[in-house]
Amino acid sequence: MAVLNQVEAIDESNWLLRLGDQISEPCAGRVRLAVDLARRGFSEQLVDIIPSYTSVLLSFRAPVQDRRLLAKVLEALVSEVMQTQLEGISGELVKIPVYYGDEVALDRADVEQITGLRFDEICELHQRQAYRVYAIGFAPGFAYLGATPEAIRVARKSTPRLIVPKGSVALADSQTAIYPASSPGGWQIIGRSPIEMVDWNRESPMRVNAGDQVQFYAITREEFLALGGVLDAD
Amino acid sequence: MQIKVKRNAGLCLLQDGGRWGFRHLGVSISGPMDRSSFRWANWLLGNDANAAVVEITLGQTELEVTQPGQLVVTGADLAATLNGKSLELWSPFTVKEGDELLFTKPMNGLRAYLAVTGGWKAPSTLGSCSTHMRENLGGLCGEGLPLAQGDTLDSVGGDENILRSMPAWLIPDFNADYQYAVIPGFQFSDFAFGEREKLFNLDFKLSKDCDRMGYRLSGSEICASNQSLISEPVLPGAMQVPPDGQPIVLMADCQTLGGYPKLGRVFSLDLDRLSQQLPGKQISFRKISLHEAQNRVENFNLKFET
Repeated sequence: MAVLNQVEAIDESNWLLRLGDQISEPCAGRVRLAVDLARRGFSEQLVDIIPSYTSVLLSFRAPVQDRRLLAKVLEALVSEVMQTQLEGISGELVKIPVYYGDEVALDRADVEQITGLRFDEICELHQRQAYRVYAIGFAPGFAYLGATPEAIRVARKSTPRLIVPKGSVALADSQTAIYPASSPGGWQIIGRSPIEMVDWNRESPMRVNAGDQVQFYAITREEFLALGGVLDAD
Repeated sequence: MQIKVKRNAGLCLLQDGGRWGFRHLGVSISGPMDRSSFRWANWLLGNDANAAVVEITLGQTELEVTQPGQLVVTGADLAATLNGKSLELWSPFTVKEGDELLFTKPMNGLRAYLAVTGGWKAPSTLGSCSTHMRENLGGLCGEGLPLAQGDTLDSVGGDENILRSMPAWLIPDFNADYQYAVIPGFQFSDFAFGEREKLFNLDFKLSKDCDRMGYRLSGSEICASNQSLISEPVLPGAMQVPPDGQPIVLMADCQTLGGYPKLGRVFSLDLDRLSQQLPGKQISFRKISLHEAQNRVENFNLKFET
């Protein structure tokens, strides 16, 4: 691994921890562990802990008084994370139903053409494995899942859609995601889930959290509708 | 205390201290663009430091007082008048039923903060009433809408006898020449020396693409050595450089993760000042150390101790 500046003070109250330089399972595990350690170690002093693929931002409530001391403590935290064997660490497995019907698989033709696979093969590959929730961002509740099988990796659309319907399940490069709300977006859409990914009124608003695992399973049109799924109006 | 929006062609947003604690779910902090002016507004009335105020951008806003109370306006001079007479800013004033408060156009700064004793009443979504239009969160109904003609605002209510004043020298002049402080960081050392030093040696201009999410600068191109970066957490003030080489300073409503290389972070108190500038303004930057940044923040915080 390249030499990284692993602990960096961004300003008087924000610190960035870097735990790797590529997107990988072990790195996701390290990020998850660093979040847990930071939460336990600093609890009330932190106002936000923001994990991403290879890094974690710690936002302190007030300017940090003793920067040198904090740097030492955070270096110790990172060093513990880097030395921990992470085999046993795997997040909660969340199963998400997807309707892969033509009427909601808006980019079926493009994805078939790029991959050279039949659509049923694409859907089967999409469901075959569990994905890691690497990060949540872009929009509230948007979870980046990866890594998808090589065979179904497709580039983003050259012109993003102005409106991607809520619940759309989509592919982009080695990642897949569920759009938690209608929004503009450039990912290739292969299906739709009836599951509400975010409910801000719940104690724990997100269906999945960074570090969890997600596995998709196919449902029929009837099941989709019965679970509260919404089709586009004609 | 109650006011009614009679006419509004600017942008009026309810903002409290911001939506903290949900950035790990992709929810941005939001809150006031100019936190310093926001903080003064609440302090002058003896309010909780995070009480809700109205952020009035640009002006073109007419408000009618429908119940009496105490108000204060801080931040930008939007040529505000009370019943046709010029209004003194940064100083609490009493209003009675029927009074008309008008914000016209930006004379010095861009965003004014209208606070009331106790703060304005608004529902809290994820712990905050701060309006984030893109995320459909906050505001008068909790759905991220700006204030519109016909809306009425009520105060939470509180002790109207606390009326503080601040020394004139602490009132910012947003029109004055200024060098904005940047703490170098993130990928700063990955930029070639000649590229990263452009930031501190050349002038930039605020482009027309400036909103609550980010301020895009225009000027000399700054070339990043490494264009692809695994998305990492970002925060307001972070200065990212997209492939076109024109830096973008992230603002209060910014996304939580970003994949562009970054040169550093505009110092928090200077970001407040930057948010008061209009498109077309010449902007220059200087480098500061973390030590200096911390001292300035601590000195600023001392001013609010009573």
